[in-house]
Amino acid sequence: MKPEQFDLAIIGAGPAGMAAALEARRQRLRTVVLDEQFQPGGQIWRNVEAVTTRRPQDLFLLGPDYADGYPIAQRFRTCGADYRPGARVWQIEIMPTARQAGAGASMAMPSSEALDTGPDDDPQVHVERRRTGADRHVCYTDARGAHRIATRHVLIATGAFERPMPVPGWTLPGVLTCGAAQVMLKTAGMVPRTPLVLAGAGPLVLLVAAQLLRAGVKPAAVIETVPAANYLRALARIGPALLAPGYISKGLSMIGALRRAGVPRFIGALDLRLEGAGRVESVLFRHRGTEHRLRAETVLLHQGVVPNASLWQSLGVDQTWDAVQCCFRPGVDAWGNSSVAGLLVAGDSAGIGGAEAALCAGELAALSIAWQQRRIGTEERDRRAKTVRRALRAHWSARPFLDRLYRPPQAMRVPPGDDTIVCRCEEVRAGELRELAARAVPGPNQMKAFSRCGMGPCQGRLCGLTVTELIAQTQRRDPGEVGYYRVRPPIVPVTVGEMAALQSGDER
Amino acid sequence: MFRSLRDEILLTVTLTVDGEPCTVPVDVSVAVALLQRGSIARTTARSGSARAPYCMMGVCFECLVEIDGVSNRQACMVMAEDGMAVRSQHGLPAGLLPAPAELP
Repeated sequence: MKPEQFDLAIIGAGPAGMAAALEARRQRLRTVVLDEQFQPGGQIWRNVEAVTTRRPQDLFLLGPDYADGYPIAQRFRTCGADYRPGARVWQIEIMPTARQAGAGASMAMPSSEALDTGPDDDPQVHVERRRTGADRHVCYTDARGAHRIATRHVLIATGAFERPMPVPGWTLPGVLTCGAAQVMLKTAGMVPRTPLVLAGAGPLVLLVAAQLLRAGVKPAAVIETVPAANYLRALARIGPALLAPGYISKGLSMIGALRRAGVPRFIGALDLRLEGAGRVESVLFRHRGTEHRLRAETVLLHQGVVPNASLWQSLGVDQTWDAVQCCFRPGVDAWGNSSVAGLLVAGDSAGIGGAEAALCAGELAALSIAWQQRRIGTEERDRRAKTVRRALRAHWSARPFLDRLYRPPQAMRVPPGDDTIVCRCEEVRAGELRELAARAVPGPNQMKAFSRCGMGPCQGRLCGLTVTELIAQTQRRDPGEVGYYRVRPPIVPVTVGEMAALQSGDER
Repeated sequence: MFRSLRDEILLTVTLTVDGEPCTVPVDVSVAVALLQRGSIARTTARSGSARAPYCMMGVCFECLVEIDGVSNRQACMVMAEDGMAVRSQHGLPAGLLPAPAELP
């Protein structure tokens, strides 16, 4: 059975995905948007339509940045993109014909609409401007089963997830991420039970604390695990950040809210650990030489976000280690084109820049795709991109400050204690991994074979970066050279029955 | 682990978790029901330690539960429905524990 054909498949309906869809539709590209959530908005604007229309009183708790998502989601709904919620992509296939020129003969191109201005090579982009066929296949699963669609371009806009925070006791029930608490507030109007402790570092810690305060939930403490030296390193970069729209003032207002409410902040806390029998009961840490022990019913952890990279990593896209953000990012040009032809990455999935930057990046990616598919000329593309890039630069200018301020110290990225669980799924501890690393295990894949780290249900998402950095630290190598797990499809669970149905062509 | 901000929720669904009825707002995931009850999702196959929802966005796979007879479903990625039967999962059957490989 011939799969449905599209010009562009966008994976993810967060800021980058929605902005790309809006621009792609402006250029009349046949666009499908696959998103694993059930409403557009991504995690940042999760459930924004339902909150705005059904419980608008909660918009006050969540703040104006959240409410900003509603008009964008509304425009996205009506832009003409084929939006498929509840769709989890488990594989992208590059068909062999993709490597042959003119393979798109089977594609019915509306040639009268197609522009053909300007040269086919552009020194600024490393993509060939040629007509490629719909030879990238995207496999996904929804409530009805598995499906496969064919497309000329794929844009990965899968956003970010929270960096693993491997501290003793982080697997205990009652310990969640700050992001999880936000999901509870946004989707269910629910708040954590007290006593509540927030621990870690990053804008989200402050934001969640401020949102919960507005909801009438007062945290017992906010424990900040970045060293005081980070503040000095960040201050050196504050100049450009002051010019970036709103970032510093928002931070200060959240800190002000915590102070007014009398929530103690322990800055530069060390040796964080969580204890309890069967569920979390206490938070322990050291602050200015004093041991503290706080009782807690719920603990929220967070130390920044990292790209949700599984999909582009599964395609073997070139990646580099970002030593400031401590994560891998895909090698992409200024438009988001990756090393794999016809595959682009935009938004936080390509490196953390935040929602506003992701909106810009999504638009730029769509402009490049429209250009590659000859829907717009070089001049128009560049003219449109100029305004977008100016906005993008403004949002990026806050990053050097934020990235340095909230860069987790090494002890929070690679647990110094041997008993700390690194791989939550297979319960592999730091000591075992260090011992293997000291015995010259060459990389994460071999580490996996020997210890089962990264072999559990999460497929290494919550231990991958820790394992890379642990090997790098033990063997005194660069994390970029150590590399990451080899990520293989299916990247989310799919049943054998669903795959078989797809092969035999009786899907739908 | 979590409580509702409001006493009265207009639209709800009722599912069962390990046989006990549990009422949650409409359009929330099964994991919301687990956090509202304060119950665990599963015990691990390796040590049998308890796990509950952690990331709420489909990344960590800690909230794997059995839903209407199908095991290993991510509770945070499945919407709660009226009459749904959710069961916590418990480890692996005895004798199936995986043995880690040995270094040569």
